[in-house]
Amino acid sequence: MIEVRELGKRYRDQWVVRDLTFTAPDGQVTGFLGPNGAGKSTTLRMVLGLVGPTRGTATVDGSRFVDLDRPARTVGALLDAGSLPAHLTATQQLSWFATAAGLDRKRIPVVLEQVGLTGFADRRIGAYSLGMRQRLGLACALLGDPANLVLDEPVNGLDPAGVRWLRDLLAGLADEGRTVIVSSHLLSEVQLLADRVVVIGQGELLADGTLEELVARSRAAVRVDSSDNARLAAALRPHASVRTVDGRLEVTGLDSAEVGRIALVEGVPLTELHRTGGLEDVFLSLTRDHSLTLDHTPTEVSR
Amino acid sequence: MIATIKSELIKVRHSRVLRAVLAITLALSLGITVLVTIFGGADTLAEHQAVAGGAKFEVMFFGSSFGVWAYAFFAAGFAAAEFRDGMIDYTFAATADRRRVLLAKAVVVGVGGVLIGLVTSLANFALTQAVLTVTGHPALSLTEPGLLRVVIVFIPAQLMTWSLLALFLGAAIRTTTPTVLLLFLGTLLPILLAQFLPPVWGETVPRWTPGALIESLAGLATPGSPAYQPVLPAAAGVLAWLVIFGIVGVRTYRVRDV
Repeated sequence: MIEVRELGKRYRDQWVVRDLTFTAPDGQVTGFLGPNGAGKSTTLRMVLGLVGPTRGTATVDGSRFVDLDRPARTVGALLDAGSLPAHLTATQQLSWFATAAGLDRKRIPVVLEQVGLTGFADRRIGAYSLGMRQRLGLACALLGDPANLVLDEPVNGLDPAGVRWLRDLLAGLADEGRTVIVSSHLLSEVQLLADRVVVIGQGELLADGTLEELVARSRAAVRVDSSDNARLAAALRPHASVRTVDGRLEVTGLDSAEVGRIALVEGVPLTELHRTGGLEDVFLSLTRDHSLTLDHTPTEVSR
Repeated sequence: MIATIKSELIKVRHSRVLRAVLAITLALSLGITVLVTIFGGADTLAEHQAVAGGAKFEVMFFGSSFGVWAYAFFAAGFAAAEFRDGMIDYTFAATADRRRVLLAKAVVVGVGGVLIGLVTSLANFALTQAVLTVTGHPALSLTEPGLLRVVIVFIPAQLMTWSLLALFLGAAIRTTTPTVLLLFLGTLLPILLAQFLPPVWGETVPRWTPGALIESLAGLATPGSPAYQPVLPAAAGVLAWLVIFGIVGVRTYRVRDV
């Protein structure tokens, strides 16, 4: 289990992560979600002891990473797969890592098989695609057969088949009782991979729960557009709350079928009808004030 | 600790850059002596060895002095390059105790320095003296008073000391070339500045630089010469430099964010 308690990181006078508290439980894949610059990587690097927290704690199975004698047996980490040494082969990299971490080299062929790189084991990493590097980074993380996995943007560079493979792999690892935490800035990835999500923005916790709980937080509505929105709105108002958004009607209190039936009765042809308030809307709503793409002040600064 | 040392040795074995710098170290240490011997000839060697005091040994170790700085470059890169290429993430993911990682690097660099120093020192001695013997010039023997100490101590201690200083400074600064430049200028400036400063500077500061201390340790600096220190203060001085740089390097390496 990975526990983060009131974790904070300040660079000069800017808090990159602030009072962050969440738990990634055993036996589940936890998606760690947030827009670019939200502080995801900084948080994971604090969990892995690469960055020291300004305040708070991050523990893996109750211990700080820096206090672990053989950390690779407790927590496997996939960070920047692009920084794997290009001059080594996969076997050499895993062999080095096993030696450094005090791990059994017998697991090298096992993890290579697990990530589908057996046929590329003796090829130099420099010749690997990004997706293959991600797989090798994952092999490194799995080499110590750890009970916890911290994976920073593991989907980067994977093709659709690779994403499906990763989903099955992570689900299998979670089914074995392991803790898996996966960061991403893309909701679609996390939806595929995770059982629960922790959403952060500008270093602060925005949401923490299962995917279902997150959807339930949303204000479900039906978005409808027609040739005569004024008439349709008048027909809908006795049954639901109606407001105009971007020239279309947003109806709360009726489902899509009921809105369609009322439009039919009124003889108003519809040009658009769909439900809003899904996970993506929740995510966008949560992170609207924290996205770098929406003309807000960047949150991450370099030292 | 043994596993960490092994893993650091694997890094050296697999890194083309580190291997190349090691090759340059050896090439400079031996190659310059070969060049001096071939192009300068036995007469030049004999002429330089005919002077009195420790200066007569200098021709043997001229090339090795360049090798010392190449090896210092190796050591600085050994500590710093991982931060540039991102490999340090994997190093610390494997070994959470950063002190252990840096001390393992120190063992590799220090022991390597002594071994390379001994080999090149003995090889340079054998080469120069063989040429002198073959050409009928007077040659030195290891039984010569003080010579064995010079051969065994001077270059190995230079390689070990400067490489460890470069390693610890490189661990703190995390860039290779500035580390070596800082070290080089840091040791050169106190000596160059002496001519512009009051005599008390020249009589005290330069003799406490690591290079001067090692000359005293090796017996190259003789009593009465400006750089001379008795053996115990010289050894304590070298140790103090290593401890100071070690504390700064380990502390920074341990606490600074990656």
